Amino acid sequence: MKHSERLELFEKVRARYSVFLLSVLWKLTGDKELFTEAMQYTLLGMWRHVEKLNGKKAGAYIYRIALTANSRAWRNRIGKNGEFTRSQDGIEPEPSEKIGRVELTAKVRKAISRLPDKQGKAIVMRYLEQHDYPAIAEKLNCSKAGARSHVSKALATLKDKLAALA
Amino acid sequence: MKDNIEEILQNIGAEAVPDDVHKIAQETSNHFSRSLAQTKQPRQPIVLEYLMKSRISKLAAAAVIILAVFLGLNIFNDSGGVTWAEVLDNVQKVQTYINRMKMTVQSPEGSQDVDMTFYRSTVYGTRRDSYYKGELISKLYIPAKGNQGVELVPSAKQYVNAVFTDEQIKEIAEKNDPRAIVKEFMCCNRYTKIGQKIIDGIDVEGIEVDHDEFGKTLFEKGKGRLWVAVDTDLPVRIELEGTSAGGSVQISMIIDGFDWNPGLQASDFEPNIPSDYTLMAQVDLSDSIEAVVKGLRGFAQIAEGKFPTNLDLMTVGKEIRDAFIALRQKQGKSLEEQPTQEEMENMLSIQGACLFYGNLVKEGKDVAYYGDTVTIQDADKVLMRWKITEDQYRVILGDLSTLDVSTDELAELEKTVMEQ
Repeated sequence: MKHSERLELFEKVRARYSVFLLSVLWKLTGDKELFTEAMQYTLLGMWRHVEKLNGKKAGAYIYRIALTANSRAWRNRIGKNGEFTRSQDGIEPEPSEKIGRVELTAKVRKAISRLPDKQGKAIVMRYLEQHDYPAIAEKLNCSKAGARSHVSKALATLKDKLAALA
Repeated sequence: MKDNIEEILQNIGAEAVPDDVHKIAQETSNHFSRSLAQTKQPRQPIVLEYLMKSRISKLAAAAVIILAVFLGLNIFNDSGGVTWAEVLDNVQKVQTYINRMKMTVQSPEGSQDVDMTFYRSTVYGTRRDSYYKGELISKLYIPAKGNQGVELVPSAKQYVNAVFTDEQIKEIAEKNDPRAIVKEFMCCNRYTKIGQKIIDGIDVEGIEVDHDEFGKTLFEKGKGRLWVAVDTDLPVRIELEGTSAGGSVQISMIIDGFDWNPGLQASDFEPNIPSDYTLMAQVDLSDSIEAVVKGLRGFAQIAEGKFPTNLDLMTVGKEIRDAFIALRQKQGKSLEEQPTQEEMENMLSIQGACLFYGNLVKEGKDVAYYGDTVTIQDADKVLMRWKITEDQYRVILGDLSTLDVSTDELAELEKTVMEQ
């Protein structure tokens, strides 16, 4: 494919999935810097695989690209440990309960970035995009029971990963 | 635990995307597309180069911090015609105070928030602690007397020595008086009253300043709002916003959290450099012609002969960062590798030129700067000039030599720049 054709296709795909990427990547990162980095990796992935984004499986590829990008962004974050440090004491005093919730949410996000491919997709579709099981089954190309199973396994894996992060 | 996770996931799923994230996504996406469109070789690492920029975010944040050393200096104009006296007559002289500042820098590469806490004393000097994502990244100490500031960078176990002039130290000390900030905002009747509101439970009244000279050291174009407590006449919040690098960088600063006369001690202002810290850089930031030339030369060394397109701190910060990334790539070095002392000094020294330029603007010295078109190869072209007497100008040429010329001679010299 010529460079100009790739560019044209890239722009088409970018426009089609911009709302999806904005929403999913923000929910996966919850942090402007991480979001920017994940977005950059996603765009790079889309550009590298743009030929594959022209068919029926484009949506599935975009999911994979976005989740891989999110994982890379989390791995790369400053300090390499992915820990969220809360704001400086005295700058934004918050009740400890709220801080605990914010930190736990960040840990959940970090744990999602480490899920296996299918489990990650299942969590994103079920909770971040709020799809029902028939829709998830269709997207994952499996039965409704299979979709439930992926989500359930993903929740169990998240629980284990959060326990490890505690 | 599982229920708890589900609840958190549902909450994440219900989150709305903030407006500024929409903007970041749009800018990131557009910038990426532009990068692609500009390359003729589709699989060349131009995209990787772009991506790598975000990996040096910590270094970039440190550069922003150090570049903003002079925040509080030269932001405002000092020219006469002050009409503020009645408002401030009953304000007690404040010897010490603490305030915080949140700075947000948005560029096509993303957004960075830096939190700072300033400790100020007319007797002991100024200290500024800077935090990036909650982590302490630097502590700057500028004494009330003497001419040397120190900035500690704990993550690198290093420190920067910065030389100031006596006048600069004096200016920093003078800025310790919050009335000076109010005075400068209210200077020359060039402000607009923007009414009253409540901030943190305090009734405040505000003014806005928005003219071409405002914030020239920091931004290409900026404006500011000052909110003063109605019952104490003390500042409650200062908001500064501006653009640089041709509008591609947006900066917002919120200064608030003022704690007046908090009882600071001498020990709060002593850097006490730990014995295992090493020197990161020794920088002459005095606003002398020598420091200016050294700063411009240092920039040109990093930027392969180019100069900053504009001499406000934020434009310079962005351009030195971009130039450093390009240099590292050319050298085949990792961006995560610590810059050498020489590289740090080259990157930091340009601040002296920014200060010098800001002062010339402030003093109305008919200053002009042509860094957007002149390079170090242009030995016969005017890079910068300003008035030194009624009919004489001092000129820095592209090769960084200096000369004094008459008004007519300057016109002749500038022809080559104007013709470009």
